[in-house]
Formats: sequence, C-alpha cells, structure tokens
Amino acid sequence: MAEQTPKPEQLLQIDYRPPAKDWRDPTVEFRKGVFCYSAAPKNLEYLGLPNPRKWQPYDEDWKLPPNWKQIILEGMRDRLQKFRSFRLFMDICVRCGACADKCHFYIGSGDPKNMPVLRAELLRSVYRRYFTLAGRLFPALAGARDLTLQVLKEWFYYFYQCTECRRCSVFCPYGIDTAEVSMIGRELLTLVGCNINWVLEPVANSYRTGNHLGIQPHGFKDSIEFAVDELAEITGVRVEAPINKKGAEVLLLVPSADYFGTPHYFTLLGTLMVLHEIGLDYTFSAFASEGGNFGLFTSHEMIKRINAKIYEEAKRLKVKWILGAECGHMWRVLHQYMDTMNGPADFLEEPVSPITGTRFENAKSTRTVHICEFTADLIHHRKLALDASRNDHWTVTFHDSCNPSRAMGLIEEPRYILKNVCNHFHEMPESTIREQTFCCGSGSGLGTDENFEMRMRGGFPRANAVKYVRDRFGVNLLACICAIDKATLPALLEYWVPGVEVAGVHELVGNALIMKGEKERGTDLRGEALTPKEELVHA
Amino acid sequence: MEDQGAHPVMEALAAKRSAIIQEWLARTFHTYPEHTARFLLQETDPFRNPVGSTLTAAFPVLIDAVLGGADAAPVTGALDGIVRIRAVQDFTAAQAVAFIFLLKPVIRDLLKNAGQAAPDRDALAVLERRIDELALLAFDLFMKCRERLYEIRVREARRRVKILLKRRGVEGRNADPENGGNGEANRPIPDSPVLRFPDSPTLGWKRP
Ligand code: SF4
Ligand code: SF4
Repeated sequence: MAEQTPKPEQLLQIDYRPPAKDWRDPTVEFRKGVFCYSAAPKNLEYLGLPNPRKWQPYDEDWKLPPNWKQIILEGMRDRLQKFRSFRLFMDICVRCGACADKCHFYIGSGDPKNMPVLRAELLRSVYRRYFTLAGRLFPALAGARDLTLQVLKEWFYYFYQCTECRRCSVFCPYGIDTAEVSMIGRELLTLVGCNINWVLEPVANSYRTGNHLGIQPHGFKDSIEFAVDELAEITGVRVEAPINKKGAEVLLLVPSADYFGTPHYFTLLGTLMVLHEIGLDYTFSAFASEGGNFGLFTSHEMIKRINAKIYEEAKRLKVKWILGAECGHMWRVLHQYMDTMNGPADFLEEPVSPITGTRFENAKSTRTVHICEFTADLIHHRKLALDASRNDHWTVTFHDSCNPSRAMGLIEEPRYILKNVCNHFHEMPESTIREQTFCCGSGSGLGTDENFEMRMRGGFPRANAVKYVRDRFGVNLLACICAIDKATLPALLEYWVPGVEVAGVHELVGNALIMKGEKERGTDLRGEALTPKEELVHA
Repeated sequence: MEDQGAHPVMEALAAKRSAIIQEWLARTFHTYPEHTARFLLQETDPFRNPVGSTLTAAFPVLIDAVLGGADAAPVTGALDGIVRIRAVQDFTAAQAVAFIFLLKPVIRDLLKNAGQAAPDRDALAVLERRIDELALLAFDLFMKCRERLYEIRVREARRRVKILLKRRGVEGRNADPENGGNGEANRPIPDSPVLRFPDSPTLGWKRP
C-alpha cells in the first residue's frame, strides 16, 4: 500500500490499537469485568492467612507488609527446594512456542501474556534475577526482572487469568505444566495477602461447615429431603437418602452446588434415582457435604486442610469405600493429592461394586470411585432399565471437563453412558475434546460475576466448537461432569451459542431410568413436559 | 435507495474483491498485538483460531454488501459474529467497531493504485455511505451484546442458588456481594434475548 495514504488512526482520531509493549513492561490495567475482587479480611482471618485488610486490585496502594519482597523471595526459595517440578519448570523451558497458542485465554483475548510460555515467564524472569548466577550478573541478557510492585500486580492479574486447566501442558515437549506455575504464583501472592474472594470465601466456609455456602447440617438435611420430595412428585417413587448413617457400605461425596444450584440439582436427582434403584447401601455425610475444594486454587497446604474431612468422615462413619459424584477439580484433588496428603486410606477397602462384582483396581489406593465409572459398569452389566427415548427432546454433545479428562483420563465412561441414555449424540471436533478439550474459561475460582468479560473471552474456543455442532447437527444440550462447568457454561452459551443448555450426565441417566414402581413420567427432571408415547406414534 | 447497478468504480473494486478482503483483514488483525496478529492471520484451523476464522469468514459477506448492496440478514449475521467477539475483548466501544472504517483507506488506496486517482465522486459517496451504515449497524450490535452480557449475569446469579431460594420460598435475590443483594434479580427477566436487526430506513441493503 502507498506510503502517503492517511493512516486509519489519523482518520479516526482514536487509538484503535493497543500500544506495542515490551513484554518486560509489567504495567497492567484492572478494568472492570476482567479481574476478580480481593478476598474479604474476615475470610483471611478465619483461615489464619497473612495480611487481612480491605483493598481492591484497582487501588494504587495494595497495603502490603513493608517486607513483602523478602516474604515473596523467601517463599520462592522454599518452594524451589520443596517442589522439584517447580525448579524444573523454571529451568528447562526452551521457548519453543509449542504451548503459545494453546491457551483459551490467549485464543480468546489475543493478549500475548496469556500465552502459557509468557505467563510462566512472569515468574521465571524473577527466578532468574534472584536465583541464577547469569540473572544476577547480566539481568537484561538473561531475561531477568527485578521484583517490583508492578511485577507483583502483574502476577496477580495473570495468575488469576489462568484456569489451571493444563491444556498447554499437553502440547509441551518437556511436559512443563504452566498450571503448576500459576498455582505456585498464587501461593506466593497469598503469602502477602493477595487473594480473591470467590476462592477464599468458599474455602473459609468449607473449613467451618464443610461446604462452600456455609450450609449447616440441618440445612444440608433439608436440602436433601427437598430433593427426595421433588423426586417423589416426578417419579412416584420415594427414594432413601441416608445422612450420617454409620456402617453404610459407601460414602457418597457430592459438590455442594448439586443441592443448591441449577442445573446441578437435576444431576443430584439422577444420582439419587440410580443409587435407589440398585439398592446401594450408602450414606451422605453432613460434614463432608462438599467434594469441591477451592484450597486447590489457594495453596498446597489449603488443599490438605480442606480435604481432610473426607477421609475423617469415611473413618467415622465406618464405610468401606467412597463414591464421588460429578465434579471437576474435586476429582483432581481426590485423584492426584488426597492419597499422599491425607492418606493412606488403609482403613477403607478396595472398592468393589456390590451389584456387579467389578473390582475398581484403578481406585486401589484412594479407595474412591468416580460415579461415571460406577454407572458405566452398571449399564455394561445391564443392571439398569433404560428408556433413551425420554431424552429425545435433547440432541447432545459432551464437553470433557479439564480435570476429569486431563488429570484422570476419564474420557470414555461418560460417553458410554450418554450413548446408552440418549438417542442423539454428536461429538465436537477432535481438537476440542478429550485431552485437548477447551476449558470453560471459569475454572480455578475465576467463575465470578465481576470477572464476566474475561470468562467470555476464555470460554470462546469452547463455545465456538459447541456452535459448530449446534449449527451442523442441531445440538441443544451440552452434557458435562463438572460442577463449575454447570455453574458457568450456561452463561457462556447464552452469550455465544444461544439455544444450547447444559446438563450433567446423571440428569440424563435419571430421565432415562425406568424405576420399579414408578408412575408414568409426565415430565423430565427439569419439570418440562414430555411428549406422551402415543402422540409421538401418531405424529 | 441508490442505484446498485454496474458502475465503473464498483466494477474496478469487484475485480479486486479478494485483494480488498485480504488487506482489510490484515489491517483489522493489526488492531491486535503483533504476535497475535500473525497468529490470527496464519492459523487456518477454525477451532484452533476461532477469532481469526470468524473474521475471515465474515469479511467477504461484508464486502459484497458494500460493493453490491446485499440482503440485511446475512450482513447482520456476519457482523454480529465479529462484534460479539470484540465486545468482550480489551477494546473501548469505539475501538471495537473501528475496524469497519479501516475499509475506507483500503478502498481508496486500491483505487489510487488502479489508476483511478479521481474516481467518480458519486460512486465514492455511495461506497462511503454504505460503510458508514455498516458501522452504525456494528454499533447497534455492540450495544446489544453489552446489554445481553448484563442480562446473562443477572440470570446466572439466580441460577447459582436457585434451589436454596426455591426451598426457602424466596423467588430470587441478587447474590452479588458487591451489590449487597439489592433485589435486582426480582425483576422479571426476559427470555433468552433475541437480537433484533436494526430496521433503519437509512440502511441501503435490499430487503428480502
Ligand atoms: S511448549 Fe514447553 S518448552 Fe516450549 S515454550 Fe511452552 S513451556 Fe516452554
Ligand atoms: S493451564 Fe490452561 S489457562 Fe493456564 S496457561 Fe495453560 S492453557 Fe492457559
């Protein structure tokens, strides 16, 4: 194009392009809609975390302790010694760029610092400056940066813009897991009192009452009874849902959203139906009333503290093994941390399905079975009577939640169930499912209202693949097995792909399940009228 | 409605259709940081690069509208896809829709290079007006997106504790702690927002 043409920005007199910046420049702008509010001091106090105070990320003064820099650097030194992986991740990245365009936040926002390699570099540059010889002597050459207040703010901005989904790690030839870098980043920030309320409030509540909303045992009991009553109305069958029943065979662990939010609740209904139908001897615990563990988004120590209740309650109630319901990060903790942090669970037995005799060898050490493994096994052994046509109003696709798919390889079981309980199922494109699945954009405690725009950016790659199957196959339901997904995907899809709803896998199982003694099902679990069979025939 | 028949200027531009699209795309991608601009342009897999692919697919529709006049529906759909993305990215309202105006210098440069240094003023006026209309449409769509965001947020807050509220016989209270539960969610919430195409009489597109 000719040189003399007026530049578009001159024509418009507006700055349409973000100024080109060196990545070393740490300045960030906390604009409404793209960050999370700080944690309320009462929550830090309750948990005994340092530096409780009133502040917000957009404040000039973050009210840090005077020696904050020393605290952070010492914290870093500690963790470099304690976690070999952390030191490795700091040292071995060759900046090949294979991870660069794999993060949903980068794809959706276009912000280069959302490239996993640069996200980690924010921490790595400080590591080099203070912990490597080259960085101490030739900081500029070694890509080292001083730890300044601006750098700390930048950490907060970008480590709370990583959903710790681990998609990038799938593509890194060295297996560098940027999620773990973000986790350490958040731990360090917590040392000087910089954390977010959407994470710490549930943590404080869980620490007190066992669950995110702070619901006490009687409230929990009311919630479960409410579900039992509703089920009786829908199905004509009154299910048993024992709470704190000593000596039951199995402890059932659910994310608390299952009994206070929708569409989670319909999944709980489906779960109760299945367990009733097979006559499993199980119990809820009114203290282990939450599988979710936002400690995972705070620090390693907090994971352990919040998770301890699960084995404690299993011990107290003298169950044989634990059955975990549909939840994402809960499973990351159960599968990857619980055994070493809170185990060994030698007081439990190796899980065996009392209905089919299947031995869940994969759960040998944690003694905790995923409900999708359990139900898939029931279906495989033909222990459930199913009428898939009751889900004919849905054309379904499956979203692999990051944690079950990437952290525990739970990929085929939910699909096997779905194909047995619905007649219309279509996969999204291969590069967006299974291990390569795109995050909902709201995981790791970022699913809050004030962070809405950032969530819409981060969730766009997922929504884009949903749009493809909606337009191509008429998909109108996205099934998933994660409580955060169920909380945040409905909003994501309302924005990007109107007309597609979200459901748990066990909601669809519940719809299809033919129960002994049930009345004719007039509605699905959502209370939506089903078309009676005869009308379908005549139609 | 203007004459949409063949005109030398329009014909010259129609012949350069794909060059215009390429140049306009390149300039629009350069409203993103440098590395990102390259990624948006080069990665052709629509699932790995949904932003770039959405723009790449939509621009030909917009160009056809500007050059030939076109039906409102596909134009609105194409434009909506782009604006929906830019409405949640790091842009001000003006920056979000400014990419439309980048088309003007693209066309002007092309005409100049094609030896049309002083092209027919009427034809140019028609072109520029169509581009302006496109920009107005984009702004309407942008506002719709922002409204939709707020509506969705309110609904989400309600869904999160819907069962608790139902159990307590309360029909909804905004759970946002910053708002201290201000009752916002008690107001009737419209169903899934429907995008209404602006039906401005100034729009030059042929109606179906
Ligand atoms: S893929 Fe691995 S080695 Fe390559 S830039 Fe990313 S983190 Fe570094
Ligand atoms: S873990 Fe997920 S969110 Fe974090 S950098 Fe990697 S891809 Fe992005």
